[in-house]
Amino acid sequence: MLIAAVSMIVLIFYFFNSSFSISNLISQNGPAPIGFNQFSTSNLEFESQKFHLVWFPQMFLIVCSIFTSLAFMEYAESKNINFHLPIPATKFEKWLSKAFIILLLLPLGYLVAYQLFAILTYSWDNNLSSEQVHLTLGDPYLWGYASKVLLLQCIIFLGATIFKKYAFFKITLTIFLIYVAYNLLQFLTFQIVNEDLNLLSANSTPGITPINASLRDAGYYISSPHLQTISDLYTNDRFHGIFCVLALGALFLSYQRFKEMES
Amino acid sequence: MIRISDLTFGYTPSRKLFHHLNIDIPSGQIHGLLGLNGAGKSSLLHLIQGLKYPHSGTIKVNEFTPSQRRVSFLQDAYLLPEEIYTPAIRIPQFVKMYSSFYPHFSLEAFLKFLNEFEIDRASNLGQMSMGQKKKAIIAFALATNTQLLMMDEPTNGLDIPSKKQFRKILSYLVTENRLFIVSTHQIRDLHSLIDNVIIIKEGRIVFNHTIVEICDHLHFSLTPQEIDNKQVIYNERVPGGYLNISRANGQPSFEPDIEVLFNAIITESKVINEVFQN
Repeated sequence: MLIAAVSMIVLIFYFFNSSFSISNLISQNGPAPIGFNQFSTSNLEFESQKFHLVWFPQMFLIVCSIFTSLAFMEYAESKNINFHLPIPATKFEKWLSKAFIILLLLPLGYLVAYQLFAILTYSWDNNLSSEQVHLTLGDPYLWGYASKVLLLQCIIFLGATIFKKYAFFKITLTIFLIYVAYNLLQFLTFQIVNEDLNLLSANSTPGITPINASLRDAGYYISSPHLQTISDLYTNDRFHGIFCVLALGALFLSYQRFKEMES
Repeated sequence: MIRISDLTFGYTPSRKLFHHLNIDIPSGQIHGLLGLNGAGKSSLLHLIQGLKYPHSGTIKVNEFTPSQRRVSFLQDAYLLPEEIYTPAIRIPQFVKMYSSFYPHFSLEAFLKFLNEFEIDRASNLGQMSMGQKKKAIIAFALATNTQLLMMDEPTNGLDIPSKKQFRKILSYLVTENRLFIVSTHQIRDLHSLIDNVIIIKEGRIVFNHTIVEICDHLHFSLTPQEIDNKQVIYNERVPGGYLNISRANGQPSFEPDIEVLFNAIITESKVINEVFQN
């Protein structure tokens, strides 16, 4: 359990470290914020107008997260455990059936429900074009978005094996605390480095270039184009690969933890 | 056949529930597992089902070790717990979901048992009363046709006609290969069914004899007055007089009163066991 808990923290840390958070997931890859027909000017690879209902990504994330956090809730009470443990199936079969339902069927079901809803709204609103309503499986935005949601789902799935009672609140709290701790650490690091640089800059002697100026000249500072580059990097295939590896790692750990629960 | 050897188990390291417990439970019988509250009846059933792990010693159910919880073992062993949990789904859905795990499950038998318990086969388990739910799960447990069926307080929460139906069903289900263990406090509900009486006291098996053996060794008699006879091992005031337990000595005995026998063993286990040893 300790290994799983530590691994979850590491995964969440990576999650935030890679500039991937719920807020920028929505802001970077989300739909145009206002109106159905407003197209974004951003050139990000996954930018799309397919999810024309602005609340969709948020709702998708929240609904999936809540259901995923409840995946192992039957293991919280002894009478429920006594019902589930003797079911004649291997631990792997039991875990796989959970993962299949929670990580695959649930998001797919939600997408189908969304699509039905979208078609209904299309029939009400003539300003919508049919391209904006129908999701196609070849849409890169869909898969880009789904891969990130899947990673988050896998982390919550792992959290659900660690926290059996009030799993959603505990997972949310854990993520929040790690997020706060990470930002605090980042802020403090920045402050310390900044103070040191200022100190070096203030005490510079004539004829010697201040160190912050040297760093800036050498290109070691973050400017807007750099941020754009990082953002572009983040959306490429290599990062999708990393997401997949992380998701598989979280799934593997959740299976290990599930085996402990069944023992 | 269940063989428990040198079993030690407890919920805290300092206080053992079972200490070097040994017992063989043969198939083809209905065993009544009796004991005071906290004696370890439910824990023993959980250990046999593999839901709990022994601290030391072994439990064997045929060739299986229950704690390994192999699929082939679980397919042939069913534990009906005292506190029933059921998902809030309709009975047909429940059967569809869970019956496939039990290769010998009989849908025909299940529907028949539901009918005998007067349960609507389309009911939603989430909306049923505890008694109705219990009847539905008893019907399911019996229909699984597992070789080992353990029931923890099965008659708790059942109405009087249902208890009668339960006895009737259980009596014709027992076969040579099947082994039923019924743990109960309400022995009067099941005394006519039980073939073998197992009594646990303070973590030990203090009594393990068949009804035939009990009838051979003990004589149960009802007298209007308390009698002063050295042959009487134990007596207890009951409605209509005194129920006496004495050595059989070749006297014909009427059906043994298991409840009185239980009380006798709890208070005079040494004396009763001496009768059987002789």
